[in-house]
Amino acid sequence: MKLYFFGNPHSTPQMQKRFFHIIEIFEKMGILVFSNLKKRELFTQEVQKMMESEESMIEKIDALIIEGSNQSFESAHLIALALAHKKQTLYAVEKNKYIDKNLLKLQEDGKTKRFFRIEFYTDDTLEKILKDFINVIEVGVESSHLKPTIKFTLRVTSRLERYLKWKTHNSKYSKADYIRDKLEAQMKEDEEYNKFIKEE
Amino acid sequence: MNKRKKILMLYCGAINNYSEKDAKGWISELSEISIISDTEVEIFYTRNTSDITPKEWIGLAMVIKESYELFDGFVILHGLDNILYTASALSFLIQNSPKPIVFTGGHLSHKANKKPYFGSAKEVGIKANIINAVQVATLDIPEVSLMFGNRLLRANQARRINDSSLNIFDAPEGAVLGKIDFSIRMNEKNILRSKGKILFHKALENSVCWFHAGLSFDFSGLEGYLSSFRAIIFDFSFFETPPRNIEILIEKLINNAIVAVRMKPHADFSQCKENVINISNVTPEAGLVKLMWVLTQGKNNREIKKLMDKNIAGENL
Repeated sequence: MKLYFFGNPHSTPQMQKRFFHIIEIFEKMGILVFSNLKKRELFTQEVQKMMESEESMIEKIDALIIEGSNQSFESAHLIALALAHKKQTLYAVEKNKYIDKNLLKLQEDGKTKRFFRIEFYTDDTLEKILKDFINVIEVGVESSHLKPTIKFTLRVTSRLERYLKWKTHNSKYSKADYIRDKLEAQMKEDEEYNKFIKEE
Repeated sequence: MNKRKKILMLYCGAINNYSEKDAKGWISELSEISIISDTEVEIFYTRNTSDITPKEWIGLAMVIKESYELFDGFVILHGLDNILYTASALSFLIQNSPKPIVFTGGHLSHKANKKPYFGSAKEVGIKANIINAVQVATLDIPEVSLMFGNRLLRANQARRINDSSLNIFDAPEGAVLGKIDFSIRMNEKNILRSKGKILFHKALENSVCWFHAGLSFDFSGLEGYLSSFRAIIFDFSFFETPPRNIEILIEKLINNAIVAVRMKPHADFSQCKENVINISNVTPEAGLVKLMWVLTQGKNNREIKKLMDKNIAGENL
């Protein structure tokens, strides 16, 4: 899973520390986190190459997370783009902080409310809110209509290739569909992994 | 956070032959932009932009002039046909604007945009173009620009390159004003910051002919027709050496009309001397509208040539 985290770079040092804590929480969950706060050099060459491509980066992520206690114009732009691409967006704000009325409207708008949620957090609840959000997205990804968007190259032996070809010949499945289905089934049955997800 | 910016969005034939009502309905689907700025919409032109003329370019500049003090930036939703001409024209009609004027749009046809709007991937891309353009219009970018795909380009240096992706336009590196990965990353060093006073112009010379020189036919019969124009641009940018018949034609026209040529950088053109204006250092679109603007400045031939050589609105490549 890939997500983009935005924190206002002009926030207090204490808040900046919190931003990096948020990034850490996601990374510990095995999520690839892009962020305005991370230097490009920190990403692998593959990711850097992806960032330089002609395509919109918003399209390539699964979700957008914004820490909005200190509002910025940049975050409004990101939310608008993410919603246009129907990406799940979490706007996390410290409890009792002001929220722009236009953002509140997004939660009521029939077209955007499915993809946009505002959550007020305290130090004690922040981690849970973030993890719950990811779990909701993951369930969505597994159960449904969300298209597989993550691309990677898989090299196989000619023997395996021959098998895949034979298996999918004259069927409605592509080779990729077949491998995806096998992985889904394997994941469902993998008790250790399911235990790991629950603990997270 | 600073005060919310006010943006004027001008609909200028973004979808072929949409009625005013349809255009308003289409724009109302862009609810996401309300979180970026207070955006007001005005329907300026609803016909196909392949029919747009200098009269509309001037009209557009005048609409912006009239509302200039009320808004922080301007977004123009334009059909792809002629967008480079309209945008280049605005860069000459509104000079030294400290406020951004951003053109955007996409491949839109009347059929493809019936409700529900913005359903297909391509239409989502167009929606993203508009969102990005509105964001650019809130920023300190004193340029007439094009926002398509992940590039923000100086409009009068842009050229159309690719119809199969959203990056339909490109420009030389120095005219790439910004790129979008997630947010907009500005190329600050490329942004022109004029210290001059804003100038609105409301005239363009229409009596200009663009002559696309092909094979070396006998052009003698054209002399009478071409000499009825105040200026003629000969485009032989695909020749290493222009056909002799065209050179002869230019020799005949040069005494009665302004003659400009567009050619390859190292083309051998003996006529390109004193009285001929070389516009090879600008895009075809910028070259045409620049000449149309320069001709209204009431200068003599020598001064016209000098003004054509000058970089007026960042158009020189």
